[in-house]
Amino acid sequence: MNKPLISMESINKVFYSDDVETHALSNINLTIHEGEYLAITGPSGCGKSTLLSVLGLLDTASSGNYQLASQPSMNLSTKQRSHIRNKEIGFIFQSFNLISDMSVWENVLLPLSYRSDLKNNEKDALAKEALEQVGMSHRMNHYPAQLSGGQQQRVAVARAIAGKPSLLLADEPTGNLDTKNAKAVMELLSKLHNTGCTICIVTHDPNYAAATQRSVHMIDGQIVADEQNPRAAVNDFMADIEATA
Amino acid sequence: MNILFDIRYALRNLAKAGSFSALTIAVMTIGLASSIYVLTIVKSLLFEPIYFPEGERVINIQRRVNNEWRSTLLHDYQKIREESKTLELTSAFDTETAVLADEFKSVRYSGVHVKGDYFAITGIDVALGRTLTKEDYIPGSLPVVILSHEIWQNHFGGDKDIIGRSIKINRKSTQVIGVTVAGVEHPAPNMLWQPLQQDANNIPFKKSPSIHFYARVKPGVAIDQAIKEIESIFSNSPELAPIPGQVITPRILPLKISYISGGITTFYIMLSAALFVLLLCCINVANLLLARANGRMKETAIRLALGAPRKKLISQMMWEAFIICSAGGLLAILLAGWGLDTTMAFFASNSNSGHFPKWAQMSLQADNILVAMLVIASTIVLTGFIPAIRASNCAFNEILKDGSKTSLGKKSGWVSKALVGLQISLSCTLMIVSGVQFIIIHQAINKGYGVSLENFISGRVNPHRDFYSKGEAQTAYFDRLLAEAQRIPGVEAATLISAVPMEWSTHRSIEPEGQGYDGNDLVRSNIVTAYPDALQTLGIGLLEGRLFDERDTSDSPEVVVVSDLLARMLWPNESAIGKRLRTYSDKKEKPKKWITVIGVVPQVVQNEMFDAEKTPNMYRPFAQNPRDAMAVVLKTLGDPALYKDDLEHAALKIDPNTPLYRANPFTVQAKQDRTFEEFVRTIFGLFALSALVMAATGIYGMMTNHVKRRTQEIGIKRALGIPDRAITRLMMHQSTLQLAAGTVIGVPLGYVLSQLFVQDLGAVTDLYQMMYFLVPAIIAAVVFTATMIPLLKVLQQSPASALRYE
Repeated sequence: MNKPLISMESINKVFYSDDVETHALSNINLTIHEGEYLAITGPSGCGKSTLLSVLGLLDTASSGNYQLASQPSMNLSTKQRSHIRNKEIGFIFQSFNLISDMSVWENVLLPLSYRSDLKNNEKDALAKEALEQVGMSHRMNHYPAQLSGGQQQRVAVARAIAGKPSLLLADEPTGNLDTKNAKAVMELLSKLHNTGCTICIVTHDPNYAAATQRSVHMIDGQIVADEQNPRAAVNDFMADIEATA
Repeated sequence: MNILFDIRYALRNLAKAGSFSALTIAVMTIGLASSIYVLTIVKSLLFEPIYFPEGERVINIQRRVNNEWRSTLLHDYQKIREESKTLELTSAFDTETAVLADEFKSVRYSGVHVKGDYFAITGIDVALGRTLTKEDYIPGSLPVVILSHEIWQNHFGGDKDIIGRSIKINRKSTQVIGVTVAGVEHPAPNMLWQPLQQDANNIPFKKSPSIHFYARVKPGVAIDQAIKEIESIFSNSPELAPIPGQVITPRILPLKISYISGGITTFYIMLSAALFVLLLCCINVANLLLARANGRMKETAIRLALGAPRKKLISQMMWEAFIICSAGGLLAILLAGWGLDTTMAFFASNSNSGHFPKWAQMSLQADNILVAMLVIASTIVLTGFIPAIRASNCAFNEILKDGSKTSLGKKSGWVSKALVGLQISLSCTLMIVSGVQFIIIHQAINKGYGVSLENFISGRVNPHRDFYSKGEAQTAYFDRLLAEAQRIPGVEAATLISAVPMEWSTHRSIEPEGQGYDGNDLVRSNIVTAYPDALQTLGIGLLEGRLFDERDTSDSPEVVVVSDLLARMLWPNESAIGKRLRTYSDKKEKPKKWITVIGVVPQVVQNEMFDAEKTPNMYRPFAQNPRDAMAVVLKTLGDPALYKDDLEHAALKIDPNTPLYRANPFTVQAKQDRTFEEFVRTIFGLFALSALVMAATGIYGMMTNHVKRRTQEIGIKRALGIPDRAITRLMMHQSTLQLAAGTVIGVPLGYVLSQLFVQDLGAVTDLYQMMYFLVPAIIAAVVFTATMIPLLKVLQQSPASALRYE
């Protein structure tokens, strides 16, 4: 087993609005190791997206202890969180969240543009490599509106992996896609995992969850099941994808 | 990606939103152009020194008697020159008609009689010959003159042997000793300079001539220090204040400021209004950018989620503001430069000389452009910073989760509402202030001068006292001139008067009989000398008593006709007829004789347009109060401009050495007279218009954005069966609240500020008060229209499409 990349202990997240307290996450304990491929599942409103936001430093936990790459991450400044998100974490959203006024190339280059540790030619090379990895380099001058949903999500994946992050977080990456495109995106994620990438996806589809190594099931803000998926299920899924292809 | 990409991206976005960009750039251009234009005027006129050498140290010294500004006297000059330790250079000068006449032509110029360090202070240098020396100032020495380059060229054909040549000035042989370099303009172009040989030591104080007194403060000495010293000289010189109780103090101003001292308040009001316009523009553009940032919130959220540092995000978002303000600024600089050139051309075309004075030149030079750049930089920060800060503070995670373009949140909503409220307030204030100022000046211009100006022409003559001494010779000259003028075909009537309506005239303190004299707080009145039929000819009708006639001779009891304003001031609720008054001179220990009021006529504008209700007029018969210079007035049957040559010819026919000058129809003189007022009226008209445009565009932009942001909410309400009328009522209610909040501050502020100059200038009628109601009504119409148009668009959509709106 690789060393832990993420370690959460007793994480709580409470939302307050108009004197109403909503416990989105309750006493979450979760460890994710480097190179792991994990699915967070559960019904709507169970807190899986909130958990992903806390994992990705898009949001802060109300209490608990969170360590990312062995570094305490609970009391980071906004600037530090931005820096970690930019360098260490890649995001894939359900609604793609590409910037419509930017070309495919500019969208992929966008997170790299905030990296001061890379030279311009290095940034270009990384963006090019990411686009090639998702098979979208031939559309680099197109704008999002000129692409299908599947293509847009592949561009979003390219943007997420361009900076070679330690952790890839995907929130319902197939939610806005038809079956064929959804499977293609999942195949892409599996391939990325095979290259050593740590991936955590949120999905409500048990088939896609089964295609990962480990499923964390949530209900009412709590983890109610955390189990390794049978290797056979992963293999079946991959075979299914290959057959479809 | 780097800064270049950010700029390219901002440019691409602005190009995509063409109408938004054009609108914001136009708004910024208006705001920046008006402020750069007025700032340049104010800086050029009030803060830049006169162009003389070491101009920042050159001052104008005038005298005040009991705190009232009076002409400086030669005795003041001589005393201060002798005793001052703080002044480096001092100079006295005065202007006088100088007629250059020979057997071929006779031309009237202005001659400057100078004393002291005039040439050193003004920096006037000679191209030929020499300037004045000590010997030239000795009374009885050979009369000498220095010609301006232009007179030398135009009058003497550039005669290279001019130095040493004897020419006739006012019939007196005078030797030309120098020719100035080209372009000399002090005190005006086309001058000639002679020594002022009068010496205060040889003249009794009561005959001390009025002079202009310039001085240059020593290096390292503050002007305040010089003022204190001169105050001390005045207070320790009782001989300069011969009337008991008189307090003489200096009025000392930097030279340029002294030229425009009457207009300083107007310039500051203009500057304030221009800064108001600029502030309004900034709020307008900030509002529009905020709305735009709101619309692009998802992009900001994505950038933040991808780890964009806040500082970088703000700088990226500022690029649009930078481009808008820079483009607006560039256009504004061009527009302001054009405006300044047009302004100078406007003043030049309306001046008697057709020339804009060198001392008042205004242009966008390097330092003014630097100021403009600073103003532009401030607008970039003002317009771009708030939207960028607000956007970079958004709850990006919620926005990304919603997957829709949500608003910036409640806080941003309040910022936006506050900006709209501020915009309504400022628009109200600016429109009221500018509108009231515009109406007051417009009415004063349209009110006229109290007499009809149509079909009148006048020109001035100044028969030299050496040849037409007061008494018979002078009267004979004027009588002959009048007779000659009356003979001009097409002339309905001709007369002589010392100052035609609208023209400057001398004024004196007036004491009514029986009310005691304490030397203070006497009414000052314009004193106009008139031929017997002058008032009838000019249409100044009689209200009471009689006008001048053949009874009013130099030997008969002295009489005066007063304006109704003077009558009211001196004898309120009484008839002025038969009452007596006398004039005071600050220089003489004893007042003049009592003069009996024989008639009352309406008050007409004599000096400044806005002075008519403050300084009354009185008229004296020429026989009892002769003047050296008079205006000959023709009432013509046709276009008065066609009589100009005949009038000039009539004067030359009587005496070729006394040419007519400043001959112009009254209407032309009036146009010249009100040039400044017309300029100020135009500026405030433009300010009011700018405020209206700002209000319309800004409020419309914000309201449209506000309604758009609530499109989904409106769709939900309609889907739930809430009638359109109820939705409309709700939106109008919210707009009314914003309108009320804005006008509650803006209208009272506008009222208070506008009352300042209503009280200062006076208003012809109460029409200006309509602005206090009209402006809120206009703003209300703008707010309601701006709410209804986008709302109707949303209501025309099906509820389903409104629900899908992102």
